[in-house]
Amino acid sequence: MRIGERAEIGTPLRPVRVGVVGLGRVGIIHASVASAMPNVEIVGLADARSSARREARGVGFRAPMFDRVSTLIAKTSPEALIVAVPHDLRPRLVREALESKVAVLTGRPLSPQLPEAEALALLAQGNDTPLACMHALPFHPVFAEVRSMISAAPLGSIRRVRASSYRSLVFDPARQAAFAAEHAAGGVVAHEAMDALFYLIDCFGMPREVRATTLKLFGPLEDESHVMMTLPSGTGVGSTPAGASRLSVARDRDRVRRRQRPATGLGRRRRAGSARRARRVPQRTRAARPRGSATACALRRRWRGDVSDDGRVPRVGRGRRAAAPPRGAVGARSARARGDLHVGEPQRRGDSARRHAMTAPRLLLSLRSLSGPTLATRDRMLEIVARYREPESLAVTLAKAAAVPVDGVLTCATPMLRAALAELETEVPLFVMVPAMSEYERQELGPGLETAIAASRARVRGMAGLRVGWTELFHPKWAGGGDFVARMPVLVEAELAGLKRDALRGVVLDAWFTDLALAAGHAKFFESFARYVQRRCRAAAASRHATSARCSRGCASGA
Amino acid sequence: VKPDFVIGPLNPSGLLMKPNPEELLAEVQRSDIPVIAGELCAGGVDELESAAAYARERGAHGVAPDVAEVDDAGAELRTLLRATATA
Repeated sequence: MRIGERAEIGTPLRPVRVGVVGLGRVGIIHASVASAMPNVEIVGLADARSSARREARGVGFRAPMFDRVSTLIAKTSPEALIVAVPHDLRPRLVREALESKVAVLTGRPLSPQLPEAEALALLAQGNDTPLACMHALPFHPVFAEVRSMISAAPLGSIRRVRASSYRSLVFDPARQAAFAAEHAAGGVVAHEAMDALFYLIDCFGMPREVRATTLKLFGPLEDESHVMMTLPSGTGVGSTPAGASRLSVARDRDRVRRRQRPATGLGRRRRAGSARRARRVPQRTRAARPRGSATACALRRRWRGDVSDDGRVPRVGRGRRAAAPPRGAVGARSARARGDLHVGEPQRRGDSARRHAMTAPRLLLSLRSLSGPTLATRDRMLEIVARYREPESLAVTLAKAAAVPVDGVLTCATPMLRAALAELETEVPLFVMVPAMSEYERQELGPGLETAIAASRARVRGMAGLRVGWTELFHPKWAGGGDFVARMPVLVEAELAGLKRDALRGVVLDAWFTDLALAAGHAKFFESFARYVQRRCRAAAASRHATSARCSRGCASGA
Repeated sequence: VKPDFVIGPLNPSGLLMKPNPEELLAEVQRSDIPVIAGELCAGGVDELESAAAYARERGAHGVAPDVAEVDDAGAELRTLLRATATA
């Protein structure tokens, strides 16, 4: 597709044999998506690194793996290759594929050098072989909708365009060094700004003049870019500093704003009394945070008696005894008790205290927003961050949720959660997501489990580490490194270390690993995960996914 | 051996319901694994109560509102609990 042309995203009209070159995070994502598409068959994977191939095999991909592209092409005869490798390797591998007359889909830029990119384009044209670069932003639903709105021109002619990004990944020299390896083609212009510039040109056409400046804040590569393009009509199109997660278009009759997060552009429902509540929970600094009974006094004033005199958040507040946490299949007032649909292992004698753990919940309170950006608007996220800056605030919410009572709280085992639970006397039923990571960490996580295990183990303190060590003894890295089935128990135990097992109702696998295992058709992984959680943790085993239908169907077929 | 439940997006706006809302809802109806609906408010577009009712009516076993989707956790969760009881 060239700039200005639109392509429908759909299923290939006939079966296509596809190979994937590069098995880092991006390559694995492409392999996952491609394997889920009808009429697409993954015939081979290639990466020069044996560790990457081992991790891909551990995820569950069973396609043949090679260390060279030439071998992959020779032995599997793919019709198309997805080349997902670093900038410096990309031109050589793309050329190799094109010379073998294999269609190529690759990352952007095609090459850091314009002459080299042009030579590859000419080679593809000469061989009559399709060659395409990936730009995701124009296909993002919100940005695609904005583009169609701009094309329809219902608001008049464009006077001014501003695009900017809030996605910051580099905050210091160490971070830049981590992102910009020795082979890096460039800084922000070669990465974040690339999609933005493509999108802007796609929307508004080729400019007649471009002026740009860059700033190098944390190292030899540019960290910020400021681009001002002038369209033939004289309209100014500005892009600052590193992408286009926010687009502002000024027109004759109106102004359209869109952000990258889908819902933010669609408006947020009005909340009666939100201003009152905002006043009730003022922003505070960590340095001024009171502790112990002083904290309780402050909270008591704010939440009108929801905190007891001994500085611990009571079960219900106001001197009343808390409702007991939901217990058993007849768990009196719990949401789960109504219209039960019990699944999982049948009850065994003497196991009644754990029986509740095997039932699917009816009502959960999710704390996902406390682990980074979600679909909520930026303003709402800032409000939430301010509200739950201190563990005591979270403890009050947990106490309220337990008093309702909800069937559980869906959360990661973060230090914040542990601190909040320590403030509570009552038991809060927990559905723990594994691994615990912020949205930013998730975006950088590789396909293997070892990074997540290492991060989890680093958080384990004291005696809790013994159980993790014991588990690792039977699931050692040297024997099962990279294998999801072999190493998942270590991750689960490391995540649950230090939490009260009595409060544990379920373990929920994070969407990243669920996606990967589903895409790879790793049925054995889901089976082993469910078995381990149900039998060893005596809790419900669940998975989170961005596509419920696929997850449900995949888990069912996996079982 | 199979998972006890799965959590996934389910909201009236159809946000993140892939491959498309119709196929997802059909799968939720067919599935023998309970589905817990998340992303109920679709980032703030939909009302929590109506979104929860929408999810339950279409076969979701339970709902999991996010802390960012509730202002008063106690009151709003209690309302959802009552709705769950009457459903």
